[in-house]
Amino acid sequence: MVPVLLAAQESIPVPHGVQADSLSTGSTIVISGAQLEKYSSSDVRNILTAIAAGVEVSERFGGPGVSAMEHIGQYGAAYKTTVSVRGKSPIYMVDDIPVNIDETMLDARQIESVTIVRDPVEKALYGPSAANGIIYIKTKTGFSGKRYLRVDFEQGVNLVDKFPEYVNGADYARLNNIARAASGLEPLYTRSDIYSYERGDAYDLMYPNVDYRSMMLKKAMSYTGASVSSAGGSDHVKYYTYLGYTGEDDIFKIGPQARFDRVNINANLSVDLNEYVTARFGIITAMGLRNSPDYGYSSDYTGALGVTEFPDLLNDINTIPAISFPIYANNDEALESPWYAVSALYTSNPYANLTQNGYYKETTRKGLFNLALDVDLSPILPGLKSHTYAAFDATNVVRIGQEEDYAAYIVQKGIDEYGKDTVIPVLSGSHSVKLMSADIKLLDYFSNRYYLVQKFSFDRKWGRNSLALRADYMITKRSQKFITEHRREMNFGLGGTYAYDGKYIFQAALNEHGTYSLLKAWSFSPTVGAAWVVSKEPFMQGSKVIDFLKLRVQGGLLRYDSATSANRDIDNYHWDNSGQRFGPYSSNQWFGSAVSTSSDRVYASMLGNPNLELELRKEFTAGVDAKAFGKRLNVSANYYYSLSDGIITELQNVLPLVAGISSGSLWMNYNVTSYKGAELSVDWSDHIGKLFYRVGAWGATNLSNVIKVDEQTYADAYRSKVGYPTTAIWGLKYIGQFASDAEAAAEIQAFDDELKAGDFKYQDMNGDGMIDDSDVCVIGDTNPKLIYGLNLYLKYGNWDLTLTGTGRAFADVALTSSYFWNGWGDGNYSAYTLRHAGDPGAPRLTYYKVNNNFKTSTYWLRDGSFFKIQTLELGYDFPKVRLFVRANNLLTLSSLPDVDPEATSAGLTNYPLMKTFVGGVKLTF
Amino acid sequence: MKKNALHIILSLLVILAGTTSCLKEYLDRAPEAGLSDSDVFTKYANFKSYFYSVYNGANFTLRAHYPMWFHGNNQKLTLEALTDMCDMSRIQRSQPGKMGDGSTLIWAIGYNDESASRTAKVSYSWKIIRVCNTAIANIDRIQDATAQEKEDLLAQAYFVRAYCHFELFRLYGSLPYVDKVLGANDEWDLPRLEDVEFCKRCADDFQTAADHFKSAALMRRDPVSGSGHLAATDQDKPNGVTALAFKGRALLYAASPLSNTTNDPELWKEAAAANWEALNQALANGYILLPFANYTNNFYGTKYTDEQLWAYTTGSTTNYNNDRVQAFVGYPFSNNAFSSAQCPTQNFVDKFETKNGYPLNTEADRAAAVAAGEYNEQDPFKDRDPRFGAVVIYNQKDLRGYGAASLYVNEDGSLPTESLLRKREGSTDGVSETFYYEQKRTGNLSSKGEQNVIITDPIIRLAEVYLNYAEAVNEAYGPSGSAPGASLTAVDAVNTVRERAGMPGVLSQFTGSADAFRDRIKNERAVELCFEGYHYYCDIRRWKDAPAIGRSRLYGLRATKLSGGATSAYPTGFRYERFALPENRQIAWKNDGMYYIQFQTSDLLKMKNYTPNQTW
Repeated sequence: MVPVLLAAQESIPVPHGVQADSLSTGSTIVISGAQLEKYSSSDVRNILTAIAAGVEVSERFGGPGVSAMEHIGQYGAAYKTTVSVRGKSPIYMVDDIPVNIDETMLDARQIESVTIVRDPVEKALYGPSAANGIIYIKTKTGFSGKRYLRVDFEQGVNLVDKFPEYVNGADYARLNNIARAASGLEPLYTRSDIYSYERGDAYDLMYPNVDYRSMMLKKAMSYTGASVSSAGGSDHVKYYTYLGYTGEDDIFKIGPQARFDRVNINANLSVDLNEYVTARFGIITAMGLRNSPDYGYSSDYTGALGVTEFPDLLNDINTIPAISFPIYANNDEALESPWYAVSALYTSNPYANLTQNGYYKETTRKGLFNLALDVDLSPILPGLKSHTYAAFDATNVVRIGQEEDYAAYIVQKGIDEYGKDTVIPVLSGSHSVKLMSADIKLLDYFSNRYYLVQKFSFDRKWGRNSLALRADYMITKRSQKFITEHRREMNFGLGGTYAYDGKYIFQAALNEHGTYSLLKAWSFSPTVGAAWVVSKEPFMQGSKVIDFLKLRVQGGLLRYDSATSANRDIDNYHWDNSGQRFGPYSSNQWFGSAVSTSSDRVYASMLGNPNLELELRKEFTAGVDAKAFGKRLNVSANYYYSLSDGIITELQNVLPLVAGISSGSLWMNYNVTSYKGAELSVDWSDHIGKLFYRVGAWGATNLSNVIKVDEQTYADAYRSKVGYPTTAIWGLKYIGQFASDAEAAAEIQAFDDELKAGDFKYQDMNGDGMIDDSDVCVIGDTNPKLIYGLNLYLKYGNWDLTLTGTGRAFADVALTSSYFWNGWGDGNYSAYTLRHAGDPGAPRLTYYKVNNNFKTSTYWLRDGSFFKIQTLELGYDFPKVRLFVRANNLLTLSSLPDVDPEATSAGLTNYPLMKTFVGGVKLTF
Repeated sequence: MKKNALHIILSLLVILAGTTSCLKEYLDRAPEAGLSDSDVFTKYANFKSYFYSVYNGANFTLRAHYPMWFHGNNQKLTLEALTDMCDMSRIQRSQPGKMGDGSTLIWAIGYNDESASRTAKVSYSWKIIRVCNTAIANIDRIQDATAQEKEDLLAQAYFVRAYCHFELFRLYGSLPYVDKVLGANDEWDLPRLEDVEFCKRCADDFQTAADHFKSAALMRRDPVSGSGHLAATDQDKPNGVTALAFKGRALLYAASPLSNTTNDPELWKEAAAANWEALNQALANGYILLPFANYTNNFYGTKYTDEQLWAYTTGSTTNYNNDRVQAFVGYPFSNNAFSSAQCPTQNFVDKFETKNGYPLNTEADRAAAVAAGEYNEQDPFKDRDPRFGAVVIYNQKDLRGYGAASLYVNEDGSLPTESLLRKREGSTDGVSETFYYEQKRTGNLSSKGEQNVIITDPIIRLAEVYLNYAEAVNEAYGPSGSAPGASLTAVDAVNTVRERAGMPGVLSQFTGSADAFRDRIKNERAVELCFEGYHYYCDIRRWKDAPAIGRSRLYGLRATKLSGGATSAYPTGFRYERFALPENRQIAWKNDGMYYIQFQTSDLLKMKNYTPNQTW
């Protein structure tokens, strides 16, 4: 099978049906086939990595499974993978129903095709919630013909990639001594102390040096994928069934079982009830089971609601210096239960937290059901069809488990009766033994959505004319834990395409949208497009080079609905009885006693803006598609411009006090931002003898520009965000170091009491003779000016090789995370700080933090460019059997130290990214 | 065929029409957990709770304008301490402002943070004004209130709106007068009005408030006869007399030299008439000047009195060294190292006449008093205006629990054992630099072991109305004139206030002309109204006396205990010497910007039509 990289199909799968490619005026991308199965991950978003032109897939952190809490950000959930199309986050639709992708546990092997909808006319039909674009995932279906049975199995391993490190105990003591000396303090650790720490004994009561990372974490975790699927059908009945399993280990070395397992079941059936009526039924279900230790204890279980335990663990082992305390406060083997050690400052023992705080099992159940009825109304009017679609999507997450706790002791140094140094364990109040007998429900989350579509389509051809019309009506309702209002909306869409002779194509889409969230509930989106197939003109007929050439353009007005919140348009009042007391009830009260105690009050909590309406998008796209040299060369290029006008903004900085409104209680259509960019994709396929090859490359750029924004009115123009990208990095301009203490003392500055030689000098932007926050200006941009992908496919006989890579270029990154900024007080030191301690250019290592040196500035700015080999697969096809080996995230080229350029906080605040190596077999009968 | 198509289209339309009819319903929102607009404004209880947030809001409070609340804020900043009246015993936020650093005051007075335990006068006021305007606009929607209840709410809304505007005016000068609810799409970049016009807008609102209070039969909230006198449930809310008295105050400010730049006599006449009306109504409603024996009840010891036209009582303090009395009670009394007391200067003490009415303000005045046998600089506290003893703690004053107050140094420079001037070693405890402490607001909190004292803030009291009237009449009609229809002359009004304190009438040599009498009125105001309501801070500005005062030197009066005991030269056994306070405790007038406090720049930058106050 030859992978298809560009939209070259006859018909493009789009939500609620298909669209004839020959009648398109847009740049919709479709990816289908085996190329979707080349990224081994439990997160389906990764399958688009590198292979979809202009689609930026960023993996934020590794780790098993995906959390259904991602999109609502509850319990510390963060996006594991982000996908952006033209700088914005698209919505996902699976088999015609919009879904939250983090709740939708799909296997790549279930997927027939992925369509990227991104141009105005295409988006308009689906209403304002689709204005950021749609990633439309179509699952596999049955077909008329010989049935197949397919069995897939792949087994592999995820290896921890870059994992920023912290120093060991001996180095910690050395650095701490240096820092204290620099701040004029006596060093704490003698040479012999440091020598003792160097033994690296995690159990030494006097001189502990604990390497939590190697004690608690593995460097690898397994990955398993397996599935059985079958499809086929007769002339009137088509079916498809899929049973899949995905299993991932976790990287905890100790403690309760930790892993993620998932079973996916997918079945659909299509039955022609008679000549005109086809009924289809589909069911996509999945059940995910995550087993995890419970890290950390809290009596009301809130501690057990962290989405993953890893961030907490990582925070502890990165911040607790290795010499803080030993694992146990008492090494007596006769003890029945261990006495875990803690210190007065660090009141939890990471080792005990992982092994002694209990466990949980989180079960995520997903069901997506749909029923469709297609009626051919040709007897009434030739070309008229009706499509009725109803779907229900439900997700439920239940976590049960136990929270337990352990006894913790502080190891106090003392002197024994013979005058020798000794240690005495003293019970710490921070933990005490708690055991639970039964599992407790810790979390119950639900989310569901109803979706109903009625569509009429009409296709007609006469002479050289062809006409396609469609009218769509959609209605949805979404409910979810944590939102009180069911989110409801409806859309009336009208779309039409007219083509003359296949050369001149005109397209239009109109949408009338109603939302529950605004008093101005209804909005209208008109869009138009046109295309000219130049290659069909007589003057091009003789061309030997150009096989196909199409110019296209689209434009329109769209509305955007982020569906985040309602009730910003009406005044909201709240009641409480906590009127300010007038008496000495707490430290923050006024004098006097109970004259007016708690009193009832009603206050405006939101000043409604009845004029609020959905954000307006003014969009324009233009492009060209071409095939040349016997269709061996495929080129597609696009330009786009999108203006987000009247973004619904909570005004914080614009209204003067005279308006009498608290900041943040008024929403207006205020901010304006423009986005523009271009995409180019090229690929060439040919063969040299028996070697078939295909090379492709794509590049895309997306530039944002803030036109109007809620911000303070600054006296210094350079402080305004207007005219800069939304992704600009704001900071000070580093201009060198103070050469002498005297030079530093001469500078008035706001961050510290005094500066010394070696501290950072910054540019005084406003010339007021003082460096402070008002000298902050734009110093960089995190947005890569270029994202690109490379694809190579080779086939020689039964061998084939796939190589894909992605990169970013012309991006800045500011090294401001705790990994680069640490090393004051008795806090831990990172390997980065160790490496640079004493460097002439580096910030001074001091015990008292020099705030001045740890400000976002050009000093900390680095080139954020990188290139990654995302997929390398080598396969061999026997008859009916394919064997392959594959690597994902194989190689990273970047100039960044220690951290992954794709996700600079991976391994610091959450799981590190993984390299994946997999071997597998596919059997088809 | 065509017929079929028609059928299809028709049935499609029918389906759509059917759907459309229930579209609105489908998108309708369910009632939220909060209250809707109509819940709030149609039910009296909710409406009242909503409006009363002006007193007690979630992130603002009218009390920011109550002088004592403002001074009691732990900024240890009092407005009197920005004048020559007193010195804060700890140099903190007051002193830089006093010396002309306006930036330290901007945040502390007007902007602070959004929490009702602070005093952000500017930001709170605009929010309160918005609530008032909302209440006025919606008053007719209440379904279940009596006419009287509605009138009361409406009266309070007008009153509070005017009060907020006017209180800002006293500190910041004129502003836009916001008399409607500014919507999201209204122009909020409003220009400032002329001073006189602004004060008249305030006066109009105060009059409207008074009219509505009258309709509500709430000229005062506590009927003088019958039960519940001085203990009405809403005693801390303003009433009709309050509104009239504030109208008088507003018009007095309009007529004063700082606002009345053309010296228009009509403005003085209007002020005289308004204050006469206020005085008349106050007396008609049973307000009186308390006998002098009960004078201090206006400030502490009793919740409310018949002299207070509007007051706010804190109830009894149970924690005498609480954070919030730190601007009143000095370290020696509270034993709280953060305390910073207002310590009267000698400049202020000199404003207290002798008991026979001889002024002591200038060197010449004192020489004349000495010549008349009225005054001895070495026995300076003897035979003074009785109010001196009620207001100032001075050396050897009998202080409950302490006996004679130890406000002196020994000849060798050491301090006596139980000295009220002693700091802990190496500390910055707030002890007096002037050898005086202030007692008017703190009263018996300055007694040893006394921790339960009721403190009341008299936001406006009858004595001020007499003095407001006297000042306006003196300017409009001369010392012996009176407002049309009034039975009191300017001199009569001043003497009424003095008489209560046991003072003789103003000596005749000062009542001959408006100019001569003006100085005595100013002096009388300083003495009678000191340390309450920051009258003095505002008065010296509206009279344009502040520049001269700002260029004067501040003095204390050192008392040295003589080891030889009393002699004829030192009849008290103490030597009293005037001494200039240290440079860092002096006052400065940098420029005329100091008449008003500056606005926050970030807020000003949002407006183009708004003229900022001059930078200090």
